[in-house]
Amino acid sequence: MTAPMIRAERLGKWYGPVIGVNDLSLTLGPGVHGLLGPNGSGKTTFLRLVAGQLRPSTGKVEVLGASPWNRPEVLARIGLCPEVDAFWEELTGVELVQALVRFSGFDEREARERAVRALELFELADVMNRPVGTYSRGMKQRTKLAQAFAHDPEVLILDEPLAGTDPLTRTAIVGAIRSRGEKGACVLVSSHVLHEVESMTENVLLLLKGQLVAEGNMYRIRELIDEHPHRVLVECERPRDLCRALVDAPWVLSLRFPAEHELEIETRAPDACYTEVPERALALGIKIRRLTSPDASLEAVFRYLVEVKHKRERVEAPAPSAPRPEARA
Amino acid sequence: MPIHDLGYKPYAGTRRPPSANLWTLARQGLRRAIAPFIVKASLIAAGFAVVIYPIVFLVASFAKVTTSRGTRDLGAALSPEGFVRGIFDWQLWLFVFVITIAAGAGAVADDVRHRAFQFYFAKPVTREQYMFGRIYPVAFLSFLLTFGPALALIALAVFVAPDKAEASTRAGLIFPSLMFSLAISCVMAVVSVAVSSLSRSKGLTMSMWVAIFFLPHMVAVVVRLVTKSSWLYLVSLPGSLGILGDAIFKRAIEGNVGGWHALATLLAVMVGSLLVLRKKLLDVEIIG
Repeated sequence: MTAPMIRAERLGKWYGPVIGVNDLSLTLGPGVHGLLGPNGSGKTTFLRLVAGQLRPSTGKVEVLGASPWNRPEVLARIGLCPEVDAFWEELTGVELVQALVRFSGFDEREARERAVRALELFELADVMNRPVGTYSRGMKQRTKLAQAFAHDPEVLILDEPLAGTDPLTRTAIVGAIRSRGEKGACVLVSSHVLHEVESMTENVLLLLKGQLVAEGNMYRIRELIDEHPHRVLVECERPRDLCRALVDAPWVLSLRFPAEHELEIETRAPDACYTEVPERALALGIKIRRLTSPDASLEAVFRYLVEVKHKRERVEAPAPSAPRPEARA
Repeated sequence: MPIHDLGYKPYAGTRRPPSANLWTLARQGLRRAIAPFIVKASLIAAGFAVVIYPIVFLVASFAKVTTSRGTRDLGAALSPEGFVRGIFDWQLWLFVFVITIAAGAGAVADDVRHRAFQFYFAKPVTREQYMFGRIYPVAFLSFLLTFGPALALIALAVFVAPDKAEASTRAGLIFPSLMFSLAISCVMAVVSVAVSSLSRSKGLTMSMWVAIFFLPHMVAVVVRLVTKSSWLYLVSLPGSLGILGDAIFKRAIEGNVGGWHALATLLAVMVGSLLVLRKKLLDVEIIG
């Protein structure tokens, strides 16, 4: 059996009276693991605990067999892509990544080579000598990913890695994440959009209000989510023209315009939606700026899973650590 | 879009130990510290000072002053150690202060504001290394700005010395200059960086540093004028440093305060500042 790369045992984190993560136990090995949950469910807190940026209030977390808190030897083997941007904007992309890679124990030349390679991986070769301050949001996101990947860490922690990226870039990012997972790294990816995680892995962990409510196979979760309509927000030029092109699509439940350059699609087939919307827009020469899911339906699924959990807890004999409902069928 | 990530394998080569990050941080800190225009301008202006002080000294050394009582050789009355000691006051008030404002008093606040901790502390960087990485650039630049001109002047003073004995005496000024430069750079760097950790607002920490540097000194000057007591100079950083400098250069200290008082005060201030900085950083968690 493979040794666990990330292990949490009755892990808890409070911010004063606010619970970030509560009594969370899990073991993760190599591969990509999707961490799903609505906003405020504790995903970022959990990732920061794993990345050694927060100290547990209770329980413990281990990465590669040791606590990551203030432990350089463990942190050298972790790559973190945080959710929020934090950049020294006067530096160029390659200088920034090189500076961060150097901390992982590489000399100047090796760090530079790795920085260049990582930036090329995320399609930033053309702009890597430009100051980061001039980058778009998507470019900054990819720079963050590059610095997380560049030192070939054994554990990759990616907080909302697809945020702010365009559909084409998403494909490259998803490919890179899957590739690392297949080659033995443990990749923990958070998202509040099921569809995003689904493109990377079948293994998912579901968090709600700081608790792990389910873990297991994505397809079982999908069956649950398909019962709920899914919303997709398209930010583009001429949303009304795009609307006309989509109105006859069988997977469209409803269409509305929340803002001047936005079209919101309600669907029960997000896969078809994410595939066909860019195709139809391209056919009409409409430029899509953003394709995101502001969907709250995931939260509904989570609430359902919590109910399942509570029902099971009532039926099963009480145990010191309550069993989690396994989503695996 | 092609996927290039075909060559990934966990790195099996040798890496430098995490302790080496101390110097990586120091170098990066220095690069960032000299980036602002005001720091570059100060360094350039200080470069002129390296030339100007010796020229003034040279002119004074050979100048003859004619008065009603006849012509007097000014060079004979010139005190090289007084001249060298005087340089430190100019450099402290003019350039070192500017460096501490631009690179020290906003350093930690700037990182907090830019949420840089989530990058630093996700890497194999300890809080102590980070502290060093913030203090070192300010200390290094301050040292450069104080010891550099002093050394240039001493070299010239030795060169134009009338005899070997005087040349040797003048060369002996290198050691006190080195000591005083180290004292100025350490105190100014540690205190200014500690102040920068007190708030996430860079403007506020910089204002606090200006207040800490100037206000006690102004009060001390007024109190000295009124009461003739110089004790209050001890609560002023430039005041304490001035007293310490006079003691190091073995010059007469005005008033009733001794060099040891200044040394003790400055050590206490430095230790206190380091403790504040350590407390602010040691338990820092990345929350926002």
